Amino acid sequence: MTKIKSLSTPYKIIKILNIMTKNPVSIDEILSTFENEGIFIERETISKYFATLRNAGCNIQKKRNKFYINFPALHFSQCDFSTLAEFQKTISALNSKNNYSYFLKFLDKLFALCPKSDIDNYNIAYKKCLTEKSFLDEKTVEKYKNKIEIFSEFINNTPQKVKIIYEEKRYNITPLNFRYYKNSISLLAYDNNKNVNKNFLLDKITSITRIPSISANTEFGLATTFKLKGRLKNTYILKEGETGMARGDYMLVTNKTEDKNELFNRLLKYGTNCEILYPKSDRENFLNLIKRLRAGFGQF
Amino acid sequence: MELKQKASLTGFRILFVLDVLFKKPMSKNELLEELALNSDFRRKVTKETLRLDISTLKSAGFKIENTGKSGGYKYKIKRSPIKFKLTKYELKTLISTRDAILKLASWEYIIKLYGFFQKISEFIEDETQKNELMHFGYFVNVDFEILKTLNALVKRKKSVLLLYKSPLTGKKEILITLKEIKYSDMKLYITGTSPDYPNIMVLRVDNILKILKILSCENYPAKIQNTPQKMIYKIKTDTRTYFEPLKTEKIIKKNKTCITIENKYENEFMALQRLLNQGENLLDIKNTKMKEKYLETLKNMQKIYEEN
Repeated sequence: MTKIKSLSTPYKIIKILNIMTKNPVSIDEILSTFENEGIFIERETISKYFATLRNAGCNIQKKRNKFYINFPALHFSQCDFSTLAEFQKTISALNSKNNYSYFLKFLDKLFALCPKSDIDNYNIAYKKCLTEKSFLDEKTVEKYKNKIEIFSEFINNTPQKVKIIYEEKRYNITPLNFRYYKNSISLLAYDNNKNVNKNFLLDKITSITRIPSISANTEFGLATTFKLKGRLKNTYILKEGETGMARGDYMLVTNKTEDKNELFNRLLKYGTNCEILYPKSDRENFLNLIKRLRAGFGQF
Repeated sequence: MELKQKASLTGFRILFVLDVLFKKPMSKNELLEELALNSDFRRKVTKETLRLDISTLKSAGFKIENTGKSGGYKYKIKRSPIKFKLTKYELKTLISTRDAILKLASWEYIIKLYGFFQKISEFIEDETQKNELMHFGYFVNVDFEILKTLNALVKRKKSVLLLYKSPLTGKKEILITLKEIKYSDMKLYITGTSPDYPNIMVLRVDNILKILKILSCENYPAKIQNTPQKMIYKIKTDTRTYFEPLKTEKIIKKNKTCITIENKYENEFMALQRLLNQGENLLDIKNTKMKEKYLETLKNMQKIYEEN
């Protein structure tokens, strides 16, 4: 096997490329990195290496006396551009301004690895995407923009208690996440009084007041454990907030985050292939639900 | 790429090789041809020099593999030290939007997004972040090549022999005349008719192991052919969840307290699941057969809880 000469110019240039694509560095920092490997380079040689990198298409930027490289390692197709454009459009519609700014920072990092021509092509694709119809209902998105903005602030940061009025009733909740439907958005939140997770349709929330107290809970809602057998044992896909364990001819699933009502309705459709095990209260409540459903049709 | 003065030719050469390999995998001969096309390399680059450059890239942290005989003996960058890091908030924004897309978008767009994320995740430094970004739920188990082929065949209403992994009975061959690909409840299904099964067959795409044969002109009707059945049911207007009618459903009456829906279903099992999923919001079922099945299922479920 040929021994690699670690003093070779190609090796040093690639090392500099690696260093400068990670973080902005000064010339002294570059020289130190090599010295730590026992490689000594003249300052003037660094200029030559910079010239080589620029010739190769690397965009060497300077920021407060430090240098960093945008190296075109990523190459996108036209399909990639339109996919990313649609994604950006969706993020803009469904997120707060703050979250959208995080996406733009991610985009900067991504395009630091792309040739300039790709960035120009993407901007064209995005402008075109904005004029086209997407899978999002624009009226729905406009309707909920304000509430998304407000609740996003609570969801992003430390769990915060909030008072809301929902269908003329007051609730003390901790917002957890959004749930999306074709023509509606709901808020999944922890009801601090009833100690359960609940869904609240955004358009029925009429008042939102921050409570100056942080939610002490780190895990919201009591977990429900249920058993799945038959065809579900091999085909069930865990939902968000679920953990699962295969056990012989059945699977045990624990669900921590779902609105209890929604969870029960979902487990109903699994029929006899599903059985709630814990907690006892959930098991009893589910059995009572089945009895009420039968009673509703005159069966006891 | 063009070399100007005051630059290192050997350094420029290795960056040229790296740039070419980032675009697509290439064999040694293809790389040498690319180098020969660039006028800056006045002297012909030898195989030995190229081999040394590849070794230098490897020692600098690039994982470069040879695709072997089946891949045409091409060099391919499997892992690059050129990566970026995501902050906690950037990742959270990407993930929450991806999850919304899994619920709202068409399966065609989801597949494209999956491919796009796969491409960019190679450049994410943190393995945990990479895995979180690629968590596309159901789609992780789908064979995209099979899906692509089925999509093309569905458009031409072709008949195929599939190797299918039934969750209850294991592997079996199924002959089916394809009707459509459906994305429902965040899962992909293929529907069609088969001479071995009554009514419309609904098969999960992730359970299709292989397309064994594509049949040229046969059209296999169902063993027992029924026209779509009609079911009318009534639900309470729920204040907590949003009712979204399926493609087979039509809202025929709506007021402040309840909604009446007509469902023209082809698959009885899925129609029953639809009714059960309404929970206590379900007020009435107008189809006698479905009502009986619904109540029978509830009775059997109640037995399980009372016996254990």
